[in-house]
Amino acid sequence: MLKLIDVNKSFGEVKALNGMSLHAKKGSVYGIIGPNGAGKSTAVRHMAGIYRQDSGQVLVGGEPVFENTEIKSKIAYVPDDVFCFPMATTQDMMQYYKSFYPNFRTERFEKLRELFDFDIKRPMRKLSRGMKKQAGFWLAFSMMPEVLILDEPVDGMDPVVRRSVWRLALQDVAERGTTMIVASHNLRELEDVCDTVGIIEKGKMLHECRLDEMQENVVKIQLAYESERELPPELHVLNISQSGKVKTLIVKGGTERATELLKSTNPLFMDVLNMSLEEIFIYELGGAGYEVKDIIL
Amino acid sequence: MKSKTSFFNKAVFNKTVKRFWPVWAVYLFIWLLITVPALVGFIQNSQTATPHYSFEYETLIVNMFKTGATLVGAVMAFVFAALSAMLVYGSLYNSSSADALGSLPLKRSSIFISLTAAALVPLFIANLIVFLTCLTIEAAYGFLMIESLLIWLAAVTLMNIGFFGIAAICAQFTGNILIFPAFYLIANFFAVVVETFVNLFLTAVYYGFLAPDKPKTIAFSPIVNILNLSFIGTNLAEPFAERNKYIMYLLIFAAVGIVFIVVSALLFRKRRLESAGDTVAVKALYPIFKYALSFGSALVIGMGVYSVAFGRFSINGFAKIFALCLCTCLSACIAYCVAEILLTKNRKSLRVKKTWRNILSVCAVCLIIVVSLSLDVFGFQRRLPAKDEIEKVTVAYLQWNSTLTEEDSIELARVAHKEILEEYAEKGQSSDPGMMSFRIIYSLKNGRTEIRKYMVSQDNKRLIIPIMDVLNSEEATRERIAIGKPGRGAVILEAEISYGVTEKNENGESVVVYYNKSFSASEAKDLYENYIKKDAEHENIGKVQKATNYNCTISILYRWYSPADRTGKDFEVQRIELSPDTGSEYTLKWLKEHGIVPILTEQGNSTAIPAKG
Repeated sequence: MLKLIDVNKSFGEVKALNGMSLHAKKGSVYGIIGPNGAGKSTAVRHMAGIYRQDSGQVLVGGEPVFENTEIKSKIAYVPDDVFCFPMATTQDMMQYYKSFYPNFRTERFEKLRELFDFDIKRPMRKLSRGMKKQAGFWLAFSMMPEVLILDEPVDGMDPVVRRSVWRLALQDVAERGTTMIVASHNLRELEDVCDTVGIIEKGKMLHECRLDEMQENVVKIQLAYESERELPPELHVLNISQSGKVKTLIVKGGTERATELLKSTNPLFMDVLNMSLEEIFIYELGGAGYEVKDIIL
Repeated sequence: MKSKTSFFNKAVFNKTVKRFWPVWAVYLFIWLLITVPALVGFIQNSQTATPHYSFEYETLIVNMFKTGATLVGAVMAFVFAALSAMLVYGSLYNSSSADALGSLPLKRSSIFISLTAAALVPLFIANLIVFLTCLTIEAAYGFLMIESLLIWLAAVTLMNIGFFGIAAICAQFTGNILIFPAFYLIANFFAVVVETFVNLFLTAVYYGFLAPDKPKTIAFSPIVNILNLSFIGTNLAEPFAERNKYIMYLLIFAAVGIVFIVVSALLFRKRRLESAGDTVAVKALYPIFKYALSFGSALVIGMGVYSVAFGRFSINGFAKIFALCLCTCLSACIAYCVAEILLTKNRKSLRVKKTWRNILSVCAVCLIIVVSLSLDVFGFQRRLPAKDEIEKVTVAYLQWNSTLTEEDSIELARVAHKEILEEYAEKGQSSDPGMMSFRIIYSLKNGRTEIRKYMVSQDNKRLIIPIMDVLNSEEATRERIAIGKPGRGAVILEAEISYGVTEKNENGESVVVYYNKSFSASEAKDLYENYIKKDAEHENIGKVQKATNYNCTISILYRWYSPADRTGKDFEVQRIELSPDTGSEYTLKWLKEHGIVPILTEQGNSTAIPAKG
């Protein structure tokens, strides 16, 4: 559905996207994660047709997005900083967007009033950051988009509204096959909603796969030996820490294979622990030479 | 599927007009305030006035619209075009609004056309409302002067388009709302300001350089040119052919404005929306911005600093070259650094080797220009046109001004010029007190004009003697005495004679007392025809600043049909001024007969008492 193929983008001397490729299937919820300055927002702006890539392709349904009004009318974009005209109310913005998006449904906008409980006649600039975000979602959902692009979507929103918004978004994905792209730092949130994840760093896709596969691929194993033992060289260890006799290993390559290899070393005990997306993110980037201590979560 | 919003988007247009309508309302209000009360007042006064004064009120109304079409119109169009562009393209200057604009399912061209229309249409509508209001008022009073109203409407609308074109292109060049006004001002005043400072620079480096009175590039600074054209007169009461220069300029200006709008549309289509907040939005302009700012600053700030810091001292030779180099290079360096920081938004860019290499290149260019011009590598300063190149020459010193065409006179002018150049080559520029300007203008046979201006001390005999030789040449003397030109019906009107005589004051000291006497037309004609002309035949009058001149100025006023007047109907009043010398036998006789016995000029150096009537 949405593809970035070898996209490059420079801002002066800075290479924001460096051969970035991404593939989000129709009806998927794709999470883009990466450290600060990795190029998440730049990638997202290319998908929304705001930026023109220096080279490469940005396609939705096989067609380029930039300057393609037909494709862009099917895309809703909720930025981190939701835009509104200085004097405009949510209702004004609804009228404004309604005239551009042929699929905009006023009935849906009215129906969503139950969820987004604030005065639509109040100037948007006077709304709190969280409320502005809600207004952004409200308008985006009313556009009935085929592709919903969200940049740091739930920052500033309270947990109750956050949950409702996600429920509504996932409902759209399930019922209408909406493709959702979410660029965020909030990995715990993404873990709950995304089915596919792409980790990017320095404008490049580092790792892209289904979340369950990713969680299956990277495992945390705690084990202890009676005396110091060499670990099997075939084992792809991302990180190792030790407390007394207990070693904690972060291993890449699948749970089954790792446990088999480690069993052959006769540990006193061995325990396989589930890893969160946040941990995977940290260790994946740690493996790419990224200093874990520098990551701002 | 083809987009339904291909070229124009009503929603963008409506939203933009709705957002900014107060600005255009203010524009309309100001115009109504300027025109309506004045128009009503003039018409009412005209209807109660006598027929003669009624005509005067008609002229006042025409003049009111003339001013509206020129002076006020230019200022209003200049300000509101910039304001409109700044508002309608304002979304480009903020990353959040630029993103919102870019994400809309609209073609860039459609957005641009809608925004541009939203800026221009309200201005046009406001102009039309003012026109119709004034027309209605005039019709209601039965005082229709539709032509002046139509010219006002056309002029103001054309100016709106022209200035908006400039504003639109400036809006595309920058991504920063604070930089936009700076770009707009530069675009409007660039040519005149640069020419002024180039002239200032050339005046500083070239001995004898004289800048033209009116900038040659004024047409490229529209606001200055329109204001200037309005002052030299565009009488709306005249037929179209008489004022077509002004209207033609506005038509060309509006056409250029349209071209600029088209270029702006192309730039808008290619615009990088990530440039919101950038000083320069078009990447290709980065080097132009850096070098233009550097050399512009070298010229403007450098020359400004030089004038303030060194202008009051008469420095010459290498000290002057050093001061000029210092001021220009320093200004260029600072400007380059500022440009670099503005573009990269990072002071670290100054630590890059390439930056310093470029700064050194800019300085090197400044040094080459300053040094080569100061050392007169191109020979401007040394140039003395050859005799056979010159068609005529005009020389001016103090109150005397002569245009000479005869070979001998031209040669005398060349000799004076050559003497000045030789003295400069030997001694450099003089800083004696009591320096007066000596201008020499060569009109060459190839159609070119070469103008020089030198400051010459009245005590510098080496230079004053050849200058006086030119001014007292046979042709110059003849010109000085002539009244009008043949066939132009010169008529002597009167004569005024001021002269000094020696008298004793109450302490018994000799003092010079000045008197003025006026004479009728017949007396003046008698003096001129029967006495001055006779002396002139023997070359005994018409010379200037001679020791043998009497302390007496004969001023004869006459009127004639000026060659400058195209209708050949209007009179022009001029005067000739002469001082008799010891050889002016006939003139002195006439003066004596009329009770005037002046002293010689040399005697007038004692204590003087102001003139008596």
